[in-house]
Amino acid sequence: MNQRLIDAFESCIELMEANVPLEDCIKKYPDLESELREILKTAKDVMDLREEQVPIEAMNRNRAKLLSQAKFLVSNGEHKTLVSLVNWLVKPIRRILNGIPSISPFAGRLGLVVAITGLLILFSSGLVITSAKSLPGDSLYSIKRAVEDISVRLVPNREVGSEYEFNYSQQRVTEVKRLIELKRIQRISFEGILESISSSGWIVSGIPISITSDTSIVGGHEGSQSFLPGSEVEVEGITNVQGWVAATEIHLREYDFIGMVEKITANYWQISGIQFLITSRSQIDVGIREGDDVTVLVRSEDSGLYALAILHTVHPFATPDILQPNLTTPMPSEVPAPTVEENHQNSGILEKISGNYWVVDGQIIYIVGDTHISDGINIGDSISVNYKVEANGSYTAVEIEKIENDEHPDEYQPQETPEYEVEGNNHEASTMTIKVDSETKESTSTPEYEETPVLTEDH
Amino acid sequence: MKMLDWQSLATYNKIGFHRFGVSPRQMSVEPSEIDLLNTLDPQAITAIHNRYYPEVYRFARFRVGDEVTAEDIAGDVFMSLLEAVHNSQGPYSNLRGWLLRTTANIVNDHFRKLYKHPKEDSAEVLETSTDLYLSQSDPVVLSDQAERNRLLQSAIDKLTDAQKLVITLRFGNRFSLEETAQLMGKKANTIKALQYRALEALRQKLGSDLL
Repeated sequence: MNQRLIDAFESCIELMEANVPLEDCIKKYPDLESELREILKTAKDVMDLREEQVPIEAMNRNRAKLLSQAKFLVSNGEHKTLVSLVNWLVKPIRRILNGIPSISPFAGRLGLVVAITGLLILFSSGLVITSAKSLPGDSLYSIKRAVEDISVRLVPNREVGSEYEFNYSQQRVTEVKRLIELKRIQRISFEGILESISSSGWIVSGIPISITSDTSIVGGHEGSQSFLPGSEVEVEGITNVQGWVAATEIHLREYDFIGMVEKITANYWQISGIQFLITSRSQIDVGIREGDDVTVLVRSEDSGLYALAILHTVHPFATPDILQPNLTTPMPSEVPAPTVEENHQNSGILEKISGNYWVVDGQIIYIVGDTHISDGINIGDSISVNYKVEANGSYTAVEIEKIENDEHPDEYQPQETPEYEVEGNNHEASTMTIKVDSETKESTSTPEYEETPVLTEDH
Repeated sequence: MKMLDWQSLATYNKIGFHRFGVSPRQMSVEPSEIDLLNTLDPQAITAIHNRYYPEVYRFARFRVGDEVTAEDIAGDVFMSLLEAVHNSQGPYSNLRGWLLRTTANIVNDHFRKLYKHPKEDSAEVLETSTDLYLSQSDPVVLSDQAERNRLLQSAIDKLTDAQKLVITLRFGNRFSLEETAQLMGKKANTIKALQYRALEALRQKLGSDLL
């Protein structure tokens, strides 16, 4: 729009308000005459609608009525007590709110939104903090679980997400133990490690489980035979005052499966007639082809069977700990991988001992017959590992020693871990695996896993 | 007498008034005056009424074009003020803006009800009232003027809320550009452009109505 025209129009309006005739106004802007004339005529008509005179009688009547109403309101005691008190309390807040939008309407709205958001955050933060200690059956427990789900989804990478999931899984166990302590009867569900199996009951992550004839046991392809100490299971049941959980269902979550590869696709592999879903987290040994015998570490979910790892049978036991997932769906490669012969040294905290592998600071190290293991090593100890890198990228322990002093945290240098990459399929080995076989010499058995059967001879 | 409902009060900002705008002239009332109003002090009420009744009345009169209706609306506005103060919902810094916002809202309610329940012809209403558009001195000449004013009134009512407001404040109440800008929470240049567009729209509507 022509700014000069608008300014000229405003100037003419002011002149006309000062009783200057319309034509005289227009003469000041001869080049805009045609545009100004019609609209100023309209403006003049609008000005003529104005009535300056205010009816005094009506005004006096209205004032009298107003004062009468005010008197009535003043006589109402409520005004002087409750309303005045509320007004006195609210006035400072209103004045503050009044001051913010005077900057600009946008700033006012923005300030209001920020204030409301802040209050919501404060409120929700308090709720979250309060709910953190809730147990199954508590009213705030659903909030606690929802916050956990959100936090897992919002993590920056999958590795951290897995860590969160692990921690939350540990919390479920802690919650069940707490419920048992409190002798509360509550329906629960948790995942844990099957520690022992006996006729009197099972123990999962330190929680006694009673098995009855009504307990539904969902095992692997070998049925209930798949349940072995060290297996990861999900328990659904009810806590009771006797201090154990009456299981309604026990679901084997992770187990090994041995079979022959029949079909390989990007999304699933068919092994001995069973389809295993492949994700970017699946660890697959290179060089596997159709017809090969493989060991599959299976993760059983409600949505299907997932292959956590598909390994040559040279690794009879696979591992559930896939710490650094592949970026793409791994596919077997026919390109032979280079073998790294030299040994490497690393140290860390021993986190887990399984049949054929140990987990050291999150790294999986396979134990083989030639592996020399010093005495007295237990979970939680600081250990030094001398290992070599296999052709498939896994780590095989040569020698494991216990570090007597507490110097491991500083000594452990992950950057020393040799990097290994197979060209052609971008299958980067990221976990340490150390093989174990029947010749494995372990000088002392590990108390926590004494009952773990050694099945290496079968393969 | 029709009292303003609180839901309508909540929509004041939607009709174009800047809720917290303050005029450089006497757009605001000293806090002491508002404090006195909050105590429903008779002297404060009288002073406020005397000061602002003319503005409220002119606003309403310009919009409805009817003296009696304008008086009713002005009365409703001040009664609403008392009710709001009584309920701790009254103005706290800009009494004039609050009163004019309320006036504009009640006027809109008036037209809304008129459109929903057209019991009488609006032309008859104008003619039967002591209307400013009619003159007893020259009824023949001014009856044409009255008809034109009625059309003008109708055309104004078809403008947007902001356009109606700027025309009412500038031409109905003779507020300056700066006062209008403060009341509407806009810059003076914006008001200039807005009033130009409003009058241009009005001219076009009048042209189409007269055809």
